[in-house]
This record gives sequence, structure tokens and C-alpha cells, in this order.
Amino acid sequence: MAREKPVRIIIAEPDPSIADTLKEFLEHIGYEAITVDRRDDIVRVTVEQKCGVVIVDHLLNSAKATEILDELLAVDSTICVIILISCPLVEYVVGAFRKGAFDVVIKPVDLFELDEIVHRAFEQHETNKVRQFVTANLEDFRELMDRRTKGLDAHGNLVGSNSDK
Amino acid sequence: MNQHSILVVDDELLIRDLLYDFFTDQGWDISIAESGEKALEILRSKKIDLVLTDLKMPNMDGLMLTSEVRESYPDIPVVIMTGYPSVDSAVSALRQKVSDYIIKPFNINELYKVVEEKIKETQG
Repeated sequence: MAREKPVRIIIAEPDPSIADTLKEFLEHIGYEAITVDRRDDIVRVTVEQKCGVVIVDHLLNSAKATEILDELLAVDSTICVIILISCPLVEYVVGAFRKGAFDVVIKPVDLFELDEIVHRAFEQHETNKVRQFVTANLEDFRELMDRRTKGLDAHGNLVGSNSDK
Repeated sequence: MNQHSILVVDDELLIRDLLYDFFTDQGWDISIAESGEKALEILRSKKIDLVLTDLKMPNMDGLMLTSEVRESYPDIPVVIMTGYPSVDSAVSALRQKVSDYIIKPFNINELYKVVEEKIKETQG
């Protein structure tokens, strides 16, 4: 089903053939996919393009995905990072989740599984954004509620308003 | 000292006893269950701050128990322990939002730190 507005996703994968395949697939299912093959560009492009989800290979230009994960979450904690691994080790998987990875996908990538994971990642990103907004504005909301509550009489009407109609 | 309430689920008596003795010595309230089914009974009857469960158990394994806990008690953190770690079970567990996946044999002091930290995170 076509989405109303394409959502952007970053693919940071050093192997061009894998990157192109993932891009083609993700665009086919309605996302706007941007490939990045330079480690130094990932955070900048993610922020500039307002991408909520990043797919990153576990090793990109000798940089560990978990280091990139740290950098991404430091600039925007709402971003969901999916790490691709080709040599699955339990300790690596557990470590990646402990550091805040949204998911870990083992290569060769099962595209049906990736579709489901990316979908969940965008849902989580939206939830993260709402949570971040509410947390950041909690004091303002409390103040507003206090003011509104104080302005009500015992019947729940605004003091001074003519609500008896 | 905070008296946290945790539920230890393991089909191995030795592990249940070890964890019961250790956490009781810390002044915590420990419930123990030898199966997932028994664990769900306990969860229905008392307030639990965290579930610490073995992965590989007969009938209801740790992942099935986690799924039940997530469904009925979404605010209770679950920590999985396993002597048979695998990438598949780790990914499955962590996708179910378990709080951690601990490989046996574990250092009990490190386990204590993990459990205490997860309870604190949940309780804010």
C-alpha cells in the first residue's frame, strides 16, 4: 500500500551491490532510501535529511556500527538504528541491543523480515518523538493545567464565563 | 535498603537455590518458580518488580513466558538467563523487549547489578 508521504531511511552499507539492492527494495515498498558509504557522512546526512531510521553495516570503513550508533543517538535519541551483521555472535547482538540498537539483522538479509523491522522502526521513531516532546514540555503542560484548573468554579465552568444557557 | 520483589524462574533447583539465597541475603523479597506456568500463577497473586527467567525450560520456555508477561504486565522488566546462548534466541528475546540477556555461567555480582539497574530504570 502506498504511503501518503515517503519517509526517509539511510542505508550505510559498504558493499555497493548490497546497498543498491536494499535501496531498490525499500523504495519499492514506499520509502525514500538514501545510501551513504562514507562513515563520516552518516550522522550529517541523517540529521540534514531528517531520517528517523538508519540501517548500518556492523563495519563501515573500519568504523564499528556501535560507535556510529552512539553518535547518532547522541545527536537524536529518537532515531532507530538497525545493524546488519554477517558474522553473528551472541555477545555482539546482546551488546548492540544494550547500546540501544533497535534491531540486528543477519546477512544475507531476508527482505520480508527487513520490511517488517523497518515498519516497526518507524513506528518506534514516532513514539520516541512524541515521548521526547511530552518530556521536554512536561513543565509547560503542568503549568497550563494548573492555570486552567484554577480558573474553574466548583461546577467545572470557567470563572466569569456565562455557561448557563 | 530497598526491598525489591523479584521472581526467579528456572527448572534447575541449584540455580533457584543459589539465586534465592543470594538475593535474600541482600534483603530482597524473592519468589521462585520451577516453570513458566508456576511463574504466571505467582504474577497473578503478588506484586513483582522484575522477572529473572531461564530461557530453556520444558513446556513454557523463557521466550513464551516473556511474551505472556509483556502481554499482561508490560511494565515488569524481564531478564533472560541461558546456558545455551544463540544468536536466534538473543535476537528473539531482545525483540520482545527483554531488559537483558545474560549468559550462564554468570558472575552473580554482575547479575545483581543488572537486576538492580533494570528495576531502578523501571521505577524511575
